[in-house]
Amino acid sequence: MKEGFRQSMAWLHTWSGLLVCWILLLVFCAGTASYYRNEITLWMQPELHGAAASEVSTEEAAKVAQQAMQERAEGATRWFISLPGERSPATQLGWSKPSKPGEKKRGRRGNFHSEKADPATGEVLSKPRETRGGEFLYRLHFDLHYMPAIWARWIVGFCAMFMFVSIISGIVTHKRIFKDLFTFRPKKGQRSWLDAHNVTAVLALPYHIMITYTGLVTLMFLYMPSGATAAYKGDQDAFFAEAFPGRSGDSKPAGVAAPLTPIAPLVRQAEQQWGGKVERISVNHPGDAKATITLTRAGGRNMSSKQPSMEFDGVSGKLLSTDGNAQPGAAATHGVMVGLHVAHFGGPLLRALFFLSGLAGCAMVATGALLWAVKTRQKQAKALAAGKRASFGLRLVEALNIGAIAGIPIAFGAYFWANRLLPVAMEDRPQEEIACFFGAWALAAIIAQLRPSRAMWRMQLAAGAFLLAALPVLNVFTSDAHLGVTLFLGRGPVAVAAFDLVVLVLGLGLAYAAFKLKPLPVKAAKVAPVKPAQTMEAA
Amino acid sequence: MELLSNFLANFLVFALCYAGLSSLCLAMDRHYADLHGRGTEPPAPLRRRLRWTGWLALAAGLAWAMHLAGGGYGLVCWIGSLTGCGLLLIWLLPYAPHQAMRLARVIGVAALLAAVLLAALSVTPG
Repeated sequence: MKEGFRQSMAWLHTWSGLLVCWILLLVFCAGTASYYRNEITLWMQPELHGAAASEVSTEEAAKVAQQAMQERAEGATRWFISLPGERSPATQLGWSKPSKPGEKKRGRRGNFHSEKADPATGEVLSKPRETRGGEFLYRLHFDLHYMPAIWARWIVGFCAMFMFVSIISGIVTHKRIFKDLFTFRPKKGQRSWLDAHNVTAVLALPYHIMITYTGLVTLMFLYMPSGATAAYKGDQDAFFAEAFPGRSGDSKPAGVAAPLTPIAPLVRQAEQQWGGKVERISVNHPGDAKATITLTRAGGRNMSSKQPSMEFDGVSGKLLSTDGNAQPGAAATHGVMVGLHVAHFGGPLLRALFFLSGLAGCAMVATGALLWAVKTRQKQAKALAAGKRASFGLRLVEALNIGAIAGIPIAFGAYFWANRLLPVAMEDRPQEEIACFFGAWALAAIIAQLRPSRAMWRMQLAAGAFLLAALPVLNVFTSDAHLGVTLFLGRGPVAVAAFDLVVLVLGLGLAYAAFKLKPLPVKAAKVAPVKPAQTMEAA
Repeated sequence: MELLSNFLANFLVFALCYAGLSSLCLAMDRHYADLHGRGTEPPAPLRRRLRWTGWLALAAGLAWAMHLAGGGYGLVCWIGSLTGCGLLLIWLLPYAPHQAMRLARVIGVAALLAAVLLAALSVTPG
């Protein structure tokens, strides 16, 4: 090694980070938002804001749901029922029917129907506008968009691996990790960016390591199938049966009709044994002699993403098997890792902490990308002062930075605005909302490439600030559950109020950053590094 | 009543984390100098006391979080609180160092009060 160990690690840190930072920023932003994907979906369906959550026991809700299914889901091969819980006020009913011969088969799930029902009466809630809601952001986080999911997962996994390399090499490079723990020196140009990068990275370091590692673990069977392939001699089904117990394969129906046993008593039985609520009910071949009913416990009691479940005979109501009370070690570990990543276990407080750490992650990626540009501009300062143009690489990175750091908030904002402004009856509405997300982002990224300047930063940050901060105002005109009602009258869903407040704060943060980017005096403008202070707090 | 004790219990984790981090921070030359003028250093006994208090507060915070929510969950909560409190402290330090430290003192006292109140609440029946 010609250079010292630390220098070579610094090199690795710089380039492994820079190469993937813009995709990482998108993944981090979408992932951070996904902690609140149910809340975001609720916000995006104002038709449901009025439906007060009726207080019904899970047992009662199960009974009502079964009746509703028997009336509506004639001839279905599977039922899926999600009972109302803390984060979803309505009962979700879903069922799949076998596709008719000659009909084009639509994916793995066949013909899937789903609707939201009032937990007390079973009546279908006034059909909310069609939207992918927070689910889009969640999928965006690892499936990206406009490409096959498998490719996307490989790309995201590749970026996550680079991120991991970057984190490790970053720790090695950071000589004064403890001495500089509390150090942030604002208004010092490059120094400030480095401080901000260090602070957001080091303070949330356990989170960054955890989220990157567990992120890779969630998809490890895609990235590294050879271990499992070798151990199970290519028998994938045997492997998945052992790794994910409780997912019995598709059994064949008997073809003999038999009435389905009432589900409510089974719910009571399971709840007594678990001492916790049942959340999901799935029924295989309802109305058939070989029907089975699977109940799954609601999350939130331990860290694992895997919850215990019970399988019952659908005709006699006899308990067939229980799963997940005692898991094999490796499966339990995998469950805890996935659980840590998605943070379903956390109460509101812990989820807020994860959200905050996620924002710190966005800030870390953004400040890292900015730091490279600021440093490189410094290196070229002499040439720039002599009237030469910035190098191609610098110009490219600066433009990409604007397009990503200032552009992503614009894309998010456009998505939410589209949700409220597009006509409700529009055809393919969810796709149009998503098109707005990417359209706005593409526009931001392209004009950033045309003129990557300080004024461009200012303009795009201001645009993002407006789009986010004005969302609560938009909500006043398009929903009954606006801040005036939720905050001052104390009515309506808390989630909607919280969404309004969070986007307001993020928007104000962006506005502050735009404000700090006052135009420079003409003379200094040429050499001054691009410096949107505190963007990282908001991005 | 339960709402109050729940709030106090969660608040105590944050309070201990913030007070502990601030104490450790103040024991460092650079941040001591930020408060008391350039070139000043904390006298050795004070530095030792600050370090001890800091680590003790953090350890107490961890123990309390684990007591509240169990080992793994408590650990995750505590780490999250450290991140949150650390970000707040670092954000306040360059702009309002004196206020940051005053906040630490207030929060430290509040932590003691919360602990006493929690003990009282757990003793009184109902």
